[in-house]
Amino acid sequence: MLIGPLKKIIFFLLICFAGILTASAQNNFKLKYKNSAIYAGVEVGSKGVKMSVLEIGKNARTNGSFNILQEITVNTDFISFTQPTFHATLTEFNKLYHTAINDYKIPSERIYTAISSGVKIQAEKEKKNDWIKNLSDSFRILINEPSRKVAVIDVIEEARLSHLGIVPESKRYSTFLIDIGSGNTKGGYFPNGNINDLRLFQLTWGTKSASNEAVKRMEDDKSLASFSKQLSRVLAGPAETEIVYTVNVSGAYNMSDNIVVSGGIAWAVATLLYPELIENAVVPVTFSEIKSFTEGIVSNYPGYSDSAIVKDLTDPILDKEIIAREIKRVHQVFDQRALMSGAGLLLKIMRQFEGITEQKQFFLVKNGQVGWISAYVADNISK
Amino acid sequence: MRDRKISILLFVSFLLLLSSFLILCTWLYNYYYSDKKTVKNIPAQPLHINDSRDSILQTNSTSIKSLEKQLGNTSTRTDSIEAKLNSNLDEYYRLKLELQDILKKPVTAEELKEANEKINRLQKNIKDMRYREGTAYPVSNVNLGDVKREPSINKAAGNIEENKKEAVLFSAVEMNLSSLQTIDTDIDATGSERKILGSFVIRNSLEVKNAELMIIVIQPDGRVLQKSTWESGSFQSKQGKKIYSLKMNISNTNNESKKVSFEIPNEKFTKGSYILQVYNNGSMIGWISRVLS
Repeated sequence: MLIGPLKKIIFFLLICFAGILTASAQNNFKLKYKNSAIYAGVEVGSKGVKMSVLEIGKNARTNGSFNILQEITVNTDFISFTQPTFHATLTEFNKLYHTAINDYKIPSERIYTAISSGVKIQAEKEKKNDWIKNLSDSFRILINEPSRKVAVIDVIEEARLSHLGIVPESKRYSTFLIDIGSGNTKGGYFPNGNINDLRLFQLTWGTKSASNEAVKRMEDDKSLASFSKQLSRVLAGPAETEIVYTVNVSGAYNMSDNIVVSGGIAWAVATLLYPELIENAVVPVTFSEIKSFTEGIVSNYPGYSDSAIVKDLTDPILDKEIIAREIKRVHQVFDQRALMSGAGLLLKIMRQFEGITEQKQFFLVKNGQVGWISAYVADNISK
Repeated sequence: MRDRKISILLFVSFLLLLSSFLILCTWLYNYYYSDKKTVKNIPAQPLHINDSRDSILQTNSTSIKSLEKQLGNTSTRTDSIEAKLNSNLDEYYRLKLELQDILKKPVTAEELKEANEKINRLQKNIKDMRYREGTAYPVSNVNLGDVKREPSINKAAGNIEENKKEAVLFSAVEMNLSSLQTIDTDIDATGSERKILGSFVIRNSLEVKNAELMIIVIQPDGRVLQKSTWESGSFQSKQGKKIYSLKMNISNTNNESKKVSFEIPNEKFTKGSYILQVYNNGSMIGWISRVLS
């Protein structure tokens, strides 16, 4: 007699239980904005597969209010275009997609998948475009979504999306965005007052390539002083020639009030120079500050250690543990020579925009690597 | 057999109920403690609640009265410093004008001697302002204790000598801070947002082509409210590095008062005491505190 009602009670409890589980899983993130929504972007890049879980604020398109909640990168080296790296990339692509669905409870319609420009450029270079198609098709079969869109982004589109994702609307048409990568530097600006026409800017110099060139010239003396001397020659020689020419040809000087730099070196320098702004994704800097930094990195490297920097922080509100951890992370990613190369290159580029009468505003962006995917997501939300 | 089934069903329903309850508790605990560092567990009140409350109320009233008295004394002392500085400034300008008049027309030896004496008095006047009062910048509502404890006052005076063109006498007066609730009609039509509105009058005694003011709004939890990551940053003040909420550039002609106002969106507004500070050239030129609700 009691079995019937008890079964109903259990069924009801099961539903409640499932609902509570779902609700509690979705609220695990510490959200920064009010009335925001959570999306995920899974991208295949040159180095590997990256999943970014993003909080997109309601004013994301106007003030760039997006917040990275979670970031997972797996290096699979897809651009070596071998069978093992293909399978590794496909496996991780699938795994990260399901992580977004199962672990972070993001519905599939809020997950965007894309293949970045670095892969496209390399594939075109090696005539392996069909590898990209195979990857996309295999992925759709694995996740059982034949109509899922896996966009292949070209370099202009990636630069355009980066600009849209990083720079707020109020500064959109007066900002020149530069992304300093390890192998090259790219960026651009919108010269015609619309978001479809981007004037692209590209340099063949990046943090690693400048450092490699300096090392090549070092001969037998492998000391820091020798590296510093050779790096100065590289930056003053072939790098500067290309930078001056490319900046002049781009016409960016006359059209931009703000120069925004993203990339790993931007994150590193911003963290070391402004530890008190650890929670800020964007940090304003001046040419003289970067100049002092490039000199200090050579003459007083211990002064940029986590203990040295944290010791000088006087504001009791600052979380010194988090700051120290982030500074340690900078030093894990960039050693002294990498910092010298990246900061030196950054200074050379900034020098082109440092005027005597006209003052440009310089900014360093720490989370630029997800700028384009956040714009891609925001772009697709509005469609 | 039937009894066994009932027992099993009862047991399963009990387990489900217990699990749901535990998950709910965990969720509520995380939600309650996740963002609000100031939220504390309120301990169980003892039976004599009214007595405790009355004594706390009395202690608070006494503290508030004492703080108000100190603030009044500080304001009085600050007013007297400002009055003294203003009178020194008046004398400085009077002497300057007299010198200008003398030097405009052809001068006799006696007039030159008179001019020389006035110049000496002028120099003494400037020296007195600088070293006696500790700073050449008149301030309003500045805690006298902070000014007296300033370790680099003489160094600041030396810097004034070196950077004469930046030695502008600024003060921020008639300061105000309030909050405004707005209705946000984007995406979520039921969303509402707060803005912090601030204003002050900036006064200076010399013509300024372009000066930079750093505005800091400090929230009840001690954090600086930033207008946006693109408009905020940090600067070097005499007390060390400080994060600013926003910065503003102004240009003022001599003796002109200019009203400056600003607003800062505050999505996660909390009630409590907010502080507004205004800095110029690393020195604080005005501050107020307001309770906003």
